[in-house]
Amino acid sequence: MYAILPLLLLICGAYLAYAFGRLEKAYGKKHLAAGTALASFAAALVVQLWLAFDVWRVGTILYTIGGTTLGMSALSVFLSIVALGLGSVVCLYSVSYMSEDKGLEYYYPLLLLMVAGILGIGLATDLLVLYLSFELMAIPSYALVAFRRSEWRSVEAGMKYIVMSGVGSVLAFFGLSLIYMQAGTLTFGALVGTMHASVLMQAALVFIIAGFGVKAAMAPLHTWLPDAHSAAPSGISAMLSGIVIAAGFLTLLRTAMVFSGAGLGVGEVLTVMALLTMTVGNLMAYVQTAHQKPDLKRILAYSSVAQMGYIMLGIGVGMAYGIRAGYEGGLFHIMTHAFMKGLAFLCAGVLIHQIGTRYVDEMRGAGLSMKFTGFALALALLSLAGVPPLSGFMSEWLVFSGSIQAYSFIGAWAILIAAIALLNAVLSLGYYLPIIKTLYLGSKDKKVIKARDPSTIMVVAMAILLALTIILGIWPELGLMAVKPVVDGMAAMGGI
Amino acid sequence: MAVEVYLGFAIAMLFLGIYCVMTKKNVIKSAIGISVMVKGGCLSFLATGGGTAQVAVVMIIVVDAILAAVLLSLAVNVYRQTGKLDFESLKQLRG
Amino acid sequence: MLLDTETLIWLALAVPFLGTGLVPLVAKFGKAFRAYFAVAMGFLTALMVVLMLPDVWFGRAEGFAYSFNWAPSIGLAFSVYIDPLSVMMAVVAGGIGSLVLLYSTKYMEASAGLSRYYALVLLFIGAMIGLVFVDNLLVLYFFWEVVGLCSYALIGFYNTDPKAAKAGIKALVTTRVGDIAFLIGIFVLSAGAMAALGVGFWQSLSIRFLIGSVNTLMAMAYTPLAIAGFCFILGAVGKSAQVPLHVWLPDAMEAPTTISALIHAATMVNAGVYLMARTLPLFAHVTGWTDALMWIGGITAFLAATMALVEPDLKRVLAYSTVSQLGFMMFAIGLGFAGFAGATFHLFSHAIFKALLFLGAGAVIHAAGTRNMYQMGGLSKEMKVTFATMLIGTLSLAGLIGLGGFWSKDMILAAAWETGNYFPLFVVVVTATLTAAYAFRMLYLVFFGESRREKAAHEAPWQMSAPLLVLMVGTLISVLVVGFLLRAYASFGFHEVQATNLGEFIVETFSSMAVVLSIVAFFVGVLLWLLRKRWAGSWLGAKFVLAAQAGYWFNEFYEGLVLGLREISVRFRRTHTGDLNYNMVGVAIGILVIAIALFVLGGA
Repeated sequence: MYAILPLLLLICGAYLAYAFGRLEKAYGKKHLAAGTALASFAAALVVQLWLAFDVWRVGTILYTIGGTTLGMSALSVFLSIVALGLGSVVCLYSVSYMSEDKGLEYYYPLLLLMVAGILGIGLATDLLVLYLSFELMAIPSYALVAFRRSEWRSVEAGMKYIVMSGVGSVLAFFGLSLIYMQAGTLTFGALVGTMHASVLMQAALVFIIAGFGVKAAMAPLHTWLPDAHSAAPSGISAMLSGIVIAAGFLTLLRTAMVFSGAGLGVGEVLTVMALLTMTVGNLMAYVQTAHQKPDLKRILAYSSVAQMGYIMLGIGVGMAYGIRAGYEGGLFHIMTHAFMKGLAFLCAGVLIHQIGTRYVDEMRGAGLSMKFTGFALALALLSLAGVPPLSGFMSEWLVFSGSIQAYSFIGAWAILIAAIALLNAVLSLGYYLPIIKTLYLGSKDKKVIKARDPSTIMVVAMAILLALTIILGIWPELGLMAVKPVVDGMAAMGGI
Repeated sequence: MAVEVYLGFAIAMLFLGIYCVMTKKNVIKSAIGISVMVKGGCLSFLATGGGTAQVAVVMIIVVDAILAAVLLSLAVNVYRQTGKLDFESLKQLRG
Repeated sequence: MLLDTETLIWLALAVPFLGTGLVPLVAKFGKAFRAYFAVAMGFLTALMVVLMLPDVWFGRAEGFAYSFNWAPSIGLAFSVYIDPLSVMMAVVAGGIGSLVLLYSTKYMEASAGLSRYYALVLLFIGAMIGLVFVDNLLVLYFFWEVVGLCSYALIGFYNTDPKAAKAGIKALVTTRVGDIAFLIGIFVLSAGAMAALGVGFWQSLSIRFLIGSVNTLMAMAYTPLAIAGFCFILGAVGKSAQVPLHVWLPDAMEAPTTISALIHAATMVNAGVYLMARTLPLFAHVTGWTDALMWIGGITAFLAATMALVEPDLKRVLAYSTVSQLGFMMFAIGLGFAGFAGATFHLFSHAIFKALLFLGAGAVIHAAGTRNMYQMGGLSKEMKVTFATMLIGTLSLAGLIGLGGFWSKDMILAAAWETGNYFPLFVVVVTATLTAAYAFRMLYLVFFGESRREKAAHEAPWQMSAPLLVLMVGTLISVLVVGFLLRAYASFGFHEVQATNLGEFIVETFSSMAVVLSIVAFFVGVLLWLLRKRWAGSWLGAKFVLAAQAGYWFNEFYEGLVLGLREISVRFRRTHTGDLNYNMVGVAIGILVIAIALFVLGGA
């Protein structure tokens, strides 16, 4: 029962938030739906943290419901802590940020359901529940991207997102059917270790990697991402970039783990795709600065593609050569990236809202008039660029370390892989640093000079993420505490 | 019929769907394309039989219905703002 | 003793970081309080490292080792290893850091955003001390990057100035190129060591452990060792501004002069030299490693000296001079164990006299209101203390007998002479000549002749002249540490470096052939400057001046690279059409790519 308590809290919260949202409208009160959503996020997070220690100490907590079993494993704890942590902050931020929007009785339930889906991805112990959780995460996200329906940008981005992601989901579903065809079952317990290489399974893997890869922004399947992540309301952008794409990748990973030991080369393929993804993401983010009007959120969106590349690289080499540091780096990067990219998007949202422009050039000098926001965004970007002592450095470092530990297996190729990854890290400086520079240049623009830091609620939300970004850089152990059991669990499954 | 035949049909439907989304410029047609793909997936699941397959198919049909609903509601918005249901108008965000 | 070495180490690391965190809070109590709080933290740090000296100086031949589990999950340990070299580096960081902080109280008074300034300077001092104290290569890399970050943020301190912001970015990106190589080198080395020595990941990163097992590594893991060696050189080239990655340092002069003195002359730029000195026992026998270092150092020293000769901007002259002197140090390490002592000793004396020159230049610029030397002149009468201290500093740079710079430079020349590297020695002697020439040119343009200034200058206040005097005394007596430094390698189990005391050292210096070269170089340099009109007027001289003024077109080359990259990415952008049909084609291509990759890479 405990295993699904956070999930239940979120789902109940979704219903309640909808009900309170209607009441809010009917009685002209404010913040009822937001308060409910925030309360359920907070409650779920507290329960999750409390359960986390049990899981780390004792092991997976199972709960059987309606013929299927949900299991709170270390992976699920890791994923829920990140998702609930970021979700709570985004919810807090939205209280103030979304307060002028219409349709909040839909916004908060959708947000809660999306996070519930992410939790489900962690809890599933069979592929069907995994897939359904994935859809539970995906469908609210389509609606949330297009939440501001009156803006053309949102509608177009939502349309592209839903068509591409929908196709991806179906491809993955087809892949599952092929697995079922060979094995006759979809539960992890029965599948792991029994899979053997065959053409059917290779085909299944192609569909699964491509299908979930659309959601995980694997190049060249990433083309929806810059549109969707830059058009969504900033809180949602933070969620999407921070955790939804990573959750998509973890879905892919969990499915692919079924094949561990079958020698199908999943890890190698992920490594290749990772290098492609990070290069494409960085190049496209870089080229935004060559554009006449670089769009801040679009740069951040492409940077997410690049960062997904790092995550894939870590886990890819981890799977391919059984390197612990790779897994640890990839997973830790999921966590640090969630917080730092979340922070960057929240700051971007504030800048866009207070100054009234999406374009970096028109934000000239914003860091001087909006001291906290500017500082937070600068640190978030530096962290993304992998500058110590911020969290991004620690995790990217582990990824690089993992990728070059493959030297013992593939010699010079490992150096090449690491060199490509690291050159990407330099390239990324080419778009992060100019943003910081622009933020602190002097400005004569009245709108910028008059802009001020946002309401206390939003500042608190950003400050939480900022603190996490700094603390995880100085004291990575805090985050690795959640990562290590996951890697241990994977090792037990034969992945390492 | 043998499983391979069902599988063949399923793959054919899948690629038909992808082809449709790749080439058709109409929003509704792309929705149809996705639907065809989903049916392909269902078919390949059913080909093997078994309890889980039926559960999976029922579930995916529900998911598909929701997906189609969201997609069509977006299509309504596209139509409201452009007066067309054409991909050509969905090209403002690029690069 | 009241405080044992272990406590001192942790205090020396904790105090500056604590100061960094507290500066913004302390700022609430007033501006002067904040400034003097930072100064107090700086001096406290300096005190801690200086207190470490006696123990290391007289006592231990063995270094002091200690470790602390930083992130046990991944086995990351913060291990400290102290020996004379690292304590010397820490004394430079703490000592010059605290003097610079004192100087800043007056020099930076009028600037905005000083909380940021003091916090970053303290963070830098702490990170620099961390960099030289750690034994673990990856933790060293961590601090290596932190000092880079501080350098970036402080170069762009005057953030409303686009030039400064751009210079900061340039510095960070350029050094990052070297850092990448360094990081790859670290990982390759550890992979090789793990395989050859059968140890765990984190143990394979301990410098001391690696040096201890260098023979096994040479035999069993030569390729990784060699790769790592050259990667480390690239890292050092980036950090220590050697050719061809030197372009960031002159631009970094947009930073406040105090920062130029501390980070871009005395401490951070020495990190590359420090790394080379530290890992010399590891790579000394890798084929071509020392030669590469020697040539990089020699060429850098020469090219930078020529550029310093034609530069009109006072701070940029000093920047080129720093690059050139760092080249000397690299050159010396390239001579192998024979040059180690000269390199580290030169590092020490250079840190002192170059910090002195920069702080003096700061006072001059403060007074004259310009950085262009052609708009100065005649300052010797108005700024007596500054003039006197800078005179000593400049003469030390030029290599006048008896001053700090003379002893250390001579040591390098002597090492080259003894090892029989005559042609490289020639290049370096020519460089020494040029050094004397540009030193006198600088001195003349700033302090002598007619005043070409628009406003009258005034002497600097005590907060600024006191550090100058301290550093001047340091320049005069820096020779005293020579015996101490020479013992550094003994603690690593290397005895190639002869330990000598001061008296023997002086006798040895004057009995070597190299001292003649030093003296000749000094006087020829002065002559070269006196005859400047004659050779600069000739055809060849004019061409040379033109090339040197253009910085040998390194900047243009890099700009071309960036433009090329931009061109590629702009073309690449066209593949992102934003058309949903094309996006779906992308998905189809993705499926194909994955399928092909899976069939090629999969074992089945």
